[in-house]
Amino acid sequence: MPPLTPFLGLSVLAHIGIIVGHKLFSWAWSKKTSPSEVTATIRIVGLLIVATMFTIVITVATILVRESIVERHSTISFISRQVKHLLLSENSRAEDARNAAQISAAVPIPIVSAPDCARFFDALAAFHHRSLYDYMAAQGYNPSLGARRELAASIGISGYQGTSEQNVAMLNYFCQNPLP
Amino acid sequence: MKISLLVPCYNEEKSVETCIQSCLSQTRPFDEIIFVDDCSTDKTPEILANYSDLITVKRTPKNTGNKSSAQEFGIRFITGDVMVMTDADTLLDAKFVEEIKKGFDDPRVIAVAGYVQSIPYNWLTLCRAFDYVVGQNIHKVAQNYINYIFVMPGAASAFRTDIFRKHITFDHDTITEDLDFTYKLHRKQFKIIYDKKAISYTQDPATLKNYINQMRRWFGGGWQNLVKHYRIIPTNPMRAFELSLIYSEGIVFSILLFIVPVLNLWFGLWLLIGYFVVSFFFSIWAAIKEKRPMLALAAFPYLILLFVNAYVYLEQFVKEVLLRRKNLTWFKPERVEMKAR
Repeated sequence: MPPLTPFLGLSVLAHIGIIVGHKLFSWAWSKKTSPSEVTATIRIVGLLIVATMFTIVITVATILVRESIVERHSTISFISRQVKHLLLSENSRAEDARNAAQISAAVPIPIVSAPDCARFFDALAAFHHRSLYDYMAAQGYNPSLGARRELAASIGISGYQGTSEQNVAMLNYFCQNPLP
Repeated sequence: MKISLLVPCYNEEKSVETCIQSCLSQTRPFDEIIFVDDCSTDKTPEILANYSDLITVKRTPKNTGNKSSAQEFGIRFITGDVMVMTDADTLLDAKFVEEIKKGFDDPRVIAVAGYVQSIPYNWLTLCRAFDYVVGQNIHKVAQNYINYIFVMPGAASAFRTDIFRKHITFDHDTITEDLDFTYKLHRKQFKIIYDKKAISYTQDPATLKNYINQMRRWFGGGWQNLVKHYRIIPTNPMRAFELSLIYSEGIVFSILLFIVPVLNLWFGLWLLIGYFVVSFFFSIWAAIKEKRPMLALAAFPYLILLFVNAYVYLEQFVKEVLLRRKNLTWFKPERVEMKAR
């Protein structure tokens, strides 16, 4: 005697509903056997029932598929995040390089000794766990120098040139007022 | 009312004697017991011969290769008003005939479907027992209320002989003859009832290979019969409801079972956990219902078989419906020895 379907799903639910309905309304339940004559009306009702059942099942399945696609752990979402991150990183690196070239032509680069830099960035990483660049990328913002300059201007840091002090100042600001 | 029993058998030396004993130990005895030996090559003929004064043994001229052909051969010898059909790997409860007879006291009733229990053996039969409990205590009870029994179990079914002879033909064009019989009875809008007290105990596959082969036969036969009888679906609203629900749920959710984890592994895992929780509640209910504590553990292996069942369901849909590769090869699982308690 085969199982009806491979699942304990809608059919179980529907049949439990029928059993409960029968228990509650047994006084009204028809005891008649099926009519032996098949009329056009019966056929139309039958076809409508088939269409309705298919619609219900397809609707439930569509909701499940939709939820599995839009949910943040979905494979599509994961792949698109990775691709977006990759594209953003490449674009911003290229833009950074262009901007750095422009700045170096206009502004003399301050000389910082290598040990000081290392100490500074270690402290920065320990305190903030990430750089401004990574923070913006993670939040879905373009972390290029141009974009950082605009962001700096919007929070009141003028003359942004991408220096460590300016980046730390911006990170401190975003610690208090995170990017949306 | 004269009640006859028809049992086809082929190489059933491990189980046939216990089957005969259960048929002879009825509170209301059968009026006629016919065993059809389909040219067995083991000790089945000798065992049947030992009971020749209590049962009638008929041997087919040559091995027919499937159950329905042996049944077709045997039915010509039936003289009873009611004909019970069962398998040689099945035991009938002592009150089986008594219960079946009660059903036929209503002259409108043309066929009575009995209750099948799986004989405990291992984790696969445990899962099958769980399927039977859900199928027969939920699906079949509801189907009985709406006058649409989906399938008469091959291991426990009874028919009015004259109606059966008049309206049911052995076409041998599907691999699940019991489902074919049921569709034919429904086509004539006959009344079929389900009697939970007419109990039979059957042997189910004990290895995964046999289990998969049996599921192939059942699901493949289901699709074959749907293709054969699809025209009768809209001719009864309850039939339309049952069949469209069963088959649309089966096909759509079998596909989803494999697609959702690809789309979203996390979401798929949560759905699976949810499904397990539901199955677990049902398995506890089944254990209480059947007074068989082990059934409470059925939800664990059942989760693995969920994928097996869904795969076989889709495989058979592709083979039988899309490619129309009709498989009519009879599957006979390996038997284990049975002893009546």
